[in-house]
Amino acid sequence: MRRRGDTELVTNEVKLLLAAISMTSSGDSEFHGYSLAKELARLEGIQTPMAQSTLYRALRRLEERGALQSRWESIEESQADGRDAPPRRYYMITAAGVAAAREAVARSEEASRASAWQTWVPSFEGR
Amino acid sequence: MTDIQDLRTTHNDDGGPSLHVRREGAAILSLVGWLDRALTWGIEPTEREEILSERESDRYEHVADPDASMVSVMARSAWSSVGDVWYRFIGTEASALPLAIVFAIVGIGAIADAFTSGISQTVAAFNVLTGVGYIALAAAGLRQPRKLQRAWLLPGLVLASIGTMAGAILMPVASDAGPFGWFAKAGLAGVATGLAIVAVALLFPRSNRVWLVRGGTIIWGSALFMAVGAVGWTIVDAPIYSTRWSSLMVAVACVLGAAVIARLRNIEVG
Repeated sequence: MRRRGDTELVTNEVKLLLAAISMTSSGDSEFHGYSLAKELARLEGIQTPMAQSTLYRALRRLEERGALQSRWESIEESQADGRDAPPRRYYMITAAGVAAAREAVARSEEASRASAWQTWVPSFEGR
Repeated sequence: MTDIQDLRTTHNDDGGPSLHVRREGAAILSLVGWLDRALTWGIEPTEREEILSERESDRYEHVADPDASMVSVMARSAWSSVGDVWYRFIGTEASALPLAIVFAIVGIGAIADAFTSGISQTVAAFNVLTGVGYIALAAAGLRQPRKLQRAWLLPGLVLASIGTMAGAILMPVASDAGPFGWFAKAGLAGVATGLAIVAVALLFPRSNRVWLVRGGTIIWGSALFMAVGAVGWTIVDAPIYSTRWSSLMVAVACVLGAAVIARLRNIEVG
């Protein structure tokens, strides 16, 4: 997906932000990459979560533009509750991230309306 | 840290650990871990360490996820590797390393061709010149990750351009090859022109980016043209088995090399 003018979010970034909003509104203020990919797969109704190569590049870009913040969990946290797993990197969506997602959704809806209008005009004229 | 062979045992609902699943999980984690290491080679060490740690954690979560099947773990890992190759070789992620590898292959191929294909001594000499040029381009990419070193890049481009153009002019075209021989000839000349444009762009830093892209685009288009010629020629006129294969390899090298060269704009030159 081509990024227009390096300012607009690309589709995968918007999807990840929407999944992050969904997780945050369900009470998970922090989430790791896999859980976010799983949430996105659930929202999209698909089985396999987004591939790591795409997922973490998108998360990095979102963090660089301030839409997400992240922190690494400590060794103690990673070993809590008998989990004893490699440390996770936790992400949080920022106010800028919520605003960016809203803006992207609004722009997408506007584009859909414009597209519908363009489709409707010729059919009207053709009557 | 948990032994990766313990993965899944805590999630199995059917009572008792599943050795089969544990072995698969461990094998996948190990294999993909090495693939990740290979595909992130050349990235700045601290950044690379973060990428590898995060992916390791992700794979652990995925394999340990009771909702996930081993097939989905494998499919996702394979797709991720394809994505990595795409981003690093063709996509927007700057890395001079894959570019250097392609240049090295083309350079070695050109030199090997000079000594094995039975072409005239003059053409063979230009083949060697082209090969040396491409090897210099490879050296430009291998000196520093994510950067093509101008000191090696510029002479490499000049040599490769002269050698390729001479090769295009001197290349014999069999009469029964139809238009395909000319396709290959014109494509080769286009590649040489593109290389020269990129070389000139490097001499003028102000217009550098625009002309790098233009040069890259010319190389890309010409190489596709040349690939069509090489494949067509192979089909209509390839009496010698080795010629057929070398033509096909030229076509593959052209497409791969051109795809990479077309991304020159994403690679820092310095």
